[in-house]
Amino acid sequence: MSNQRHHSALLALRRRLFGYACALCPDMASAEDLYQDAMLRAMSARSVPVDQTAFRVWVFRIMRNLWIDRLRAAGRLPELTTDDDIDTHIAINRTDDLTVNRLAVRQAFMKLAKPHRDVLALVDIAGFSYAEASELLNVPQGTIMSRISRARASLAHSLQDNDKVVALPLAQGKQGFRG
Amino acid sequence: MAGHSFSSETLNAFVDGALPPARTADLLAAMAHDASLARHVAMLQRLKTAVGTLDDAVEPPPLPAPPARKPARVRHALAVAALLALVAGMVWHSQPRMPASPDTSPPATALAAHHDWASAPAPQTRARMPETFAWLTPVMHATGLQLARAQQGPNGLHLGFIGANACRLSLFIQPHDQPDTALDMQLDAHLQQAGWTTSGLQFRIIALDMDLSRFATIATTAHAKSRDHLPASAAQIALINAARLPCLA
Repeated sequence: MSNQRHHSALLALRRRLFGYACALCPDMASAEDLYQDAMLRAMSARSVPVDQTAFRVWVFRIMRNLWIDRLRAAGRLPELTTDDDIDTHIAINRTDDLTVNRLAVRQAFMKLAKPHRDVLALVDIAGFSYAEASELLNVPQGTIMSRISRARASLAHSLQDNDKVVALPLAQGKQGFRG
Repeated sequence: MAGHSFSSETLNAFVDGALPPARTADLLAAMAHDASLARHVAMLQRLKTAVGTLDDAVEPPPLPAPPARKPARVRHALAVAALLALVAGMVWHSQPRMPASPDTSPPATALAAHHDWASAPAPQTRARMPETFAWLTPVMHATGLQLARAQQGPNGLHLGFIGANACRLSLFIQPHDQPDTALDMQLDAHLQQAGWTTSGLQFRIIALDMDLSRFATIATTAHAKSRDHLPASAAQIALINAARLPCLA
């Protein structure tokens, strides 16, 4: 990939990359640092994937590896736990009628376990398919599916428990009406 | 939702567009007969949309200058750096930084226009959707609301939709020269509002006493369609259908 195409491709990804950084980091300053470091690393690379999909995975992997390096340096790498450490018995039946606002979602999102934040950010914010997320995280697609499922269950559960969320149970007796 | 055979992983894969076509068809068929299942899927869709738009309004910082290269490439690297700085600068200056929570609240005039229209007797005739916004027709048809007004006014094009159970929803569309903004919803038990800008147009939706889940579903779908202009998928139509509830007024 030529330098110009390389930089154009990076520019095209900047919003999603920054969104991913915001999802991984606890505050905006850390996210900006991570974003800048990842972009710098990507811009200075001598070998860049030519294929568009491979390029996207490559750039996000750079950012994710930098994030893992930071967690490791801070002694917080164990927080990037395996699925075994994550509650898998979250009931979400009562959350079907949640209506949420952005602030509440952000708060609940940041409370998610890091692997959950990671995979939701890749799929919902960065727009990766399950197959691409699987390649990026180096785990089977089935693992992506279960992580996504648990992450959204956990998010819904957290939102339900959050007093700041406008939780809107559909009024009893309304169901079944149309129009 | 009892009785269906869809795992949580399957429902999430559906929301993420990762379900095989045959399984998608099975699920859509099940949703058509199971309102609880449809609501659950709608909730997952809302979560996905909410996470996906968390940082839409936050402008990324400018790109860093590329690192220096070996002497033989210094001139080239400088040229690239200059180009990057120029591009970043142009982007930076041409797109004023969006506030974290852009104010997409409708002006008092739009609220007043909605109130005036909503309190007037329901017209006997239906209005015609302008061709430019034909992409809205299947979405609004699925809501059960019918277009009763399509009129230019001080707040831009006013599309007024009415339902069989006292529902009135206004959509105001007007040209806008600011950068795109994310969907912003303000849901109150009495007044529901949503606003966003995309492709040089500002959209504002206002309703009174509408079921909040229903309003949110309509707003998120209209928002998505205003950006891609693609026909609403069967799943989106099913979600809107599942959210149909009478207004309280």
